[in-house]
Amino acid sequence: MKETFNLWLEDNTQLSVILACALRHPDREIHSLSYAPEFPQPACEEAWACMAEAQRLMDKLKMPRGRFCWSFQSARFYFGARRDGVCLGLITMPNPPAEQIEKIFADFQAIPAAA
Amino acid sequence: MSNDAAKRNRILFVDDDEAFLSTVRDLFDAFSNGDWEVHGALSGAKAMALLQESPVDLVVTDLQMPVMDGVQLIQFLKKNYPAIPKAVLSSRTDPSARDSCMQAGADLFFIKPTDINVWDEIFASLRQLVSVQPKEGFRGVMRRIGLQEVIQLECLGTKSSVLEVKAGDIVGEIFIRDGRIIHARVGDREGLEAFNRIMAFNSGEFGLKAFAEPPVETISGSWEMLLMEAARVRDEAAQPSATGEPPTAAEVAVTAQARAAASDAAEAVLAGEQGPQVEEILICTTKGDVVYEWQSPQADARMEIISFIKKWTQQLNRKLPLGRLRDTEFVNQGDRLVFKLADDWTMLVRTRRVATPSGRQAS
Repeated sequence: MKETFNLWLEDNTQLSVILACALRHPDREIHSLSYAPEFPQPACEEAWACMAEAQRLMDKLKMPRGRFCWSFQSARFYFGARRDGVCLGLITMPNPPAEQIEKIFADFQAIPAAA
Repeated sequence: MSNDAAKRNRILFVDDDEAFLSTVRDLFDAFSNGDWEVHGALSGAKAMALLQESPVDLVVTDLQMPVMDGVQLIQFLKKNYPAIPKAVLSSRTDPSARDSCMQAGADLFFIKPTDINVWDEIFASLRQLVSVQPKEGFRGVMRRIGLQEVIQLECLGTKSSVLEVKAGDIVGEIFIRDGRIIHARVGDREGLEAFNRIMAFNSGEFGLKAFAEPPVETISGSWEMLLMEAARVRDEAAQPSATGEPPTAAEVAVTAQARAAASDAAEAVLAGEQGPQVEEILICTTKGDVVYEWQSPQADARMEIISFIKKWTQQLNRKLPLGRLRDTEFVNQGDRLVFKLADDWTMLVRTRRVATPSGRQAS
């Protein structure tokens, strides 16, 4: 199951606007990819840790699973979770085409849970 | 009755019941033999606006009021006007109400009396509270106040005024009528463009003038959204261009206009005839004091999210070249929760998509 998600990430995130991305599985295992030298994988770990903490906070506050977008001056940081607990994080250029991001998250949500 | 206004104590009663305020004013005017100058405010926001205008010697607040309740007002006073004594006059009789008020910083707690003799006792207690305060020297605190705060106070107080802002040789004016921003001009610019330009001034001075009708009304919409949009435009102006050079004023204007036009167009396509519906607004200071709250029953939970965002923004920027955080957005189906973090304040606005007859939704 994890392999399917990981392959999906590798196949669907190689876009010029995506600088780095990651999947966090329910068992806390992280599969991350970096496409920009200024966003190397070790440095991005902080972002994926933030993603996990955000999910914990949402659960604590009994907020429904949704999608976060942090707009920084030099990049955007998106993350969202599925009902089965798999989280997707993306670090993108500051103003990525909204439709591209929407499609990635829609496709991520559509991956069959039993995949 | 004393005629020496300089020696009169200014007492501010805050209660959303206008008739009650009127009764209190009459009673305490009589009890004090005219030594008390009794003022009334129908809400916490109006009390804040009055305090901004001139100091008072005592604040007596009701507990249950819409938007900002008595405990929140006490907390605000404790942080921002620590020298002013604070009392609560409430119909609530449960001990928990008293405890929460005292914990928040109230000096005295009274239950609203029905017997005239009890009013006399309350007056005696309040008079004692006022009398132990220093009459000489300085009182109150000075704090940095910016354009946003002044506009917030004017709007919250539903006031009418003209805010004149000077930056070097440039003079701008923002017209506020009954708490609504209706017009702005600077140089040959008018409307939103002028408003955003004024709000983007890095330095200068400002003053409030008496309200005068503008020649034309060029701005509409809630002041909260206008301030938020101005902050967004200002942040974008601070971004370096692709060449690494700071953008010119013309580039900033073009970018802002293009973005605004694109945003309007996108919203129009998605929205059909209806725009997004604002469901909640929360504005707080960096210290966590709630300055303005509208339909935000989960303010504590919201503050927890704001703390989380601040903490992680710092942590993320230690290792990643992200730059300044402009805003954070949480989207869940029809709900959109936007957190705008400025240097001095944080604003939260929640909107909900409104379904249109055609089945499309406004975002």
